[in-house]
Amino acid sequence: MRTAIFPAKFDQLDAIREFATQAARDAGMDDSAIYAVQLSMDEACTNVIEHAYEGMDGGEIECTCDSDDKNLTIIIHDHGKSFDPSTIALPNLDADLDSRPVGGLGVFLMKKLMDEVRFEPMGASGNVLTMIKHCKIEPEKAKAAHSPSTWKQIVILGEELMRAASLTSQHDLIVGSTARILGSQADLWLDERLFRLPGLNQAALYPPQPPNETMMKAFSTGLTTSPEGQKKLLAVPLKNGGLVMGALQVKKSDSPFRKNEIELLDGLVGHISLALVASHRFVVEQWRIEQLTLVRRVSAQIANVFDLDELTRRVAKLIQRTFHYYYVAIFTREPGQDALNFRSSAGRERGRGKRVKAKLGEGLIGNVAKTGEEAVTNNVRSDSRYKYIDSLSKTQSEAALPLKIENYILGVLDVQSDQLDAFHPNDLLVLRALADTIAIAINGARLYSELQMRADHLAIVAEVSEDITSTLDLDELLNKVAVLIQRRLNFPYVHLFTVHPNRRQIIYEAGSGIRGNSLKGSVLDLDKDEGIIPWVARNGKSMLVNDVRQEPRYQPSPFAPEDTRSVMTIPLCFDDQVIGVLDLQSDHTNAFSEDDRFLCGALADYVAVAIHNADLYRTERWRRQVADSLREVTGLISADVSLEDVLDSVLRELERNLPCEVAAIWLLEGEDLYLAQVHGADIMEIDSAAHRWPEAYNFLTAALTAEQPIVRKPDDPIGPTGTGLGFSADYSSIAAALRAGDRPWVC
Amino acid sequence: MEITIQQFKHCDLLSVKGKVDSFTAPDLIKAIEALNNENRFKIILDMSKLEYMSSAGFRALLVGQRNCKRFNRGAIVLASVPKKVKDALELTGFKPLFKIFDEITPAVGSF
Repeated sequence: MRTAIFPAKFDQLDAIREFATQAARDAGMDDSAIYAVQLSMDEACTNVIEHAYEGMDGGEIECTCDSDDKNLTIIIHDHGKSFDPSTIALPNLDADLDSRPVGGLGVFLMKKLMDEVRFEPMGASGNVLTMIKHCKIEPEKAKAAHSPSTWKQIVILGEELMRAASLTSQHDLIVGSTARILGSQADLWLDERLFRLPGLNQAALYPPQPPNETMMKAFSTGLTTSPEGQKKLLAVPLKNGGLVMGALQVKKSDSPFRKNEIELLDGLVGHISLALVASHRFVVEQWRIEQLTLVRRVSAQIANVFDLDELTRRVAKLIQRTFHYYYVAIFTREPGQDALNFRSSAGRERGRGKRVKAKLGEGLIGNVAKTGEEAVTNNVRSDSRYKYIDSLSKTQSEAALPLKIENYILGVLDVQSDQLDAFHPNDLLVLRALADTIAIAINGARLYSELQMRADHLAIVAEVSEDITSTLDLDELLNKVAVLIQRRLNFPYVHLFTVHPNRRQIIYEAGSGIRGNSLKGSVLDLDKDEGIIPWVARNGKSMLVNDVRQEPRYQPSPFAPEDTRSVMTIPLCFDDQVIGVLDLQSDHTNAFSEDDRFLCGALADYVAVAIHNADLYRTERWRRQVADSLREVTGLISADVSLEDVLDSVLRELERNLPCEVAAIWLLEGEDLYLAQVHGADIMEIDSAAHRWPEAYNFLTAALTAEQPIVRKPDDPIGPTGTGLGFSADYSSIAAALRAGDRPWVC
Repeated sequence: MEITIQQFKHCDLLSVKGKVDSFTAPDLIKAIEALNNENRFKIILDMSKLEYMSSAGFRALLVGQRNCKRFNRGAIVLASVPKKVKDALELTGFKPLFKIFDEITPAVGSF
């Protein structure tokens, strides 16, 4: 509000008008409204001077101007004669020149030009005139390029653009405000690639190219453009630095744009550009912070989890949830295998966390696993490397990132989206960071689990060896070994064989399960060319076959389950001698690892030692028994018992130590041998056989002159005992000479 | 307000510069009366430099027109009337009382 007091003189009218003009201008009025205020003020004060003060000197006029958003209010107060202008007749505007009244025009003009005019005669204290002019700014008349309210609108627009949540609402704000400020139609086009928000797969709002030629030209040249000759249509480029981001088009139907309107438009567009860039940067910043938070959360998860499966499960889920991807999976690659290990996955839809098979070099995942280079395709249909998977039918874009530590490929992080062009460079930036973190974690987890496994294995070896070294019975020992290996190492089929180099035989001794027992005693030929077990027994080297279909040496055997896929066969060696074979089988391919071979090798050594010990123990016990028997016989001889009784007890002790079907003692009588005592057969029958078959007799007498006891071989002649009892050609016998007085015996 | 007068053979060009209000309007009336006193009744009022004119100015025009037109001696015509002034003339019903020309030359030619 402002107030001024003027002397009531005509020469003050200029100053009085200037006072009102200032107020009208401050209220944001346009030129014609300002003129109306000037004119009304002039007429009002002229009336005061003429009628209230009647031209008298010394009068004063007090003017007050007040304005708000809607109105400019002017109050004129005088102390002159009470005067009511409403009593003045309104002029006849149609009257001809001569009858036209000279007065009354001022009040008429005031009432026409102002929205409200009130006269209040105050008696002795003069008159108060109140005039009100509305500050309506009609768009078609709003050419006030420098009016503060226009700038205010622009500033508000900038603030609202910063607050707007989406490109759509920003578009509406710009178009609406431009239309209001310039009183024209407005149209906006933005190069959406510059404004795409990462992580949000919103549908495109703008066409890829400006919608018309004028905008296209403004966009490509970066200059304000209008179609030739007409200034009713203008397109202004939106620029940030040297980069053109879009175009704003304004169109007027009635009159061309004036110079000040174009200037205003330039300012407006500059402000819009700035606000758009700022708000975009802000959103991107926010997004970056979010992504960093995700990477940090993943890292935190990783630091707390050592189990690889648990780790990959959590990470896949976290990535899927944060980015809203269609499918996320993690694979690991094991050395020496041509298929990737599926570790875990997460999908948006229920049941999408499916296992996916991937082979090296196959599909995007396989390619990445093979080359270690990331593979990103923003449209899988156009990528020859892409391999369609039934359970992931909606995939449109896929990114496979290698999990690498230096040059060593540990696995693949696979991300699939059901949108085209889903992977913005910013997305990939974050995914890469995640892949690196996961790689470190997988490596760590792997080292940890290897360490854990080694420790477990050492514990198993220790336990097994403790168990088996305390067992001296060979049968019990072998059974125990089979059961322990099966139970502790979780191998389904465990078989143990002993190797007998003299007999060229491999004998099945023990196995896991019921079937294992029923096969006990089965024999393999040590010299057989085919078969893994004979080869291992001959060469003393272990053999690991993870797919028997590709191993020519493999032969199905009754020991193996029918659907054997993997075999691991370990020799049991002691002192460079193969004394047995440990055979493990599985009905899965790739069932055994190098670690298993190492572990079983260590176990085999213990088992070999244990077998050797049990063997030694058995031999030792037998020797002791033999010594006992000898002492017994010696005792009998010195006790002067009859020869017949002595021979009888000799044979009895012999049978105890060397189990046999027939034992006989032959004595020399002159040059001939006669049968002195026999166990297990009729004495007459054997004796007569010896005399009837000279060949048999001669084989017997050969023992008399031999340096060492004669062990019968299958192609040797059949001796008297064999003949007498009708043994087949491959029976066994041993004949030793009794040399105290050239008296040999044979059994 | 400043008034300059250019005399032609059959008419006079009266140029008004600045503002015409109750303070200055009597000068305008005097200038027209001075011409009338010399028997010059064909007057072109050049308003191209006119910034402002209140109803006092309109009354001056009305009085002058009456005198000039009496006995068909002549008339006041207006030339180069600023839009704001023209609007006010229209509003007050004064426009039909004067011939109005956009330019001075056709106004001179009209006599």
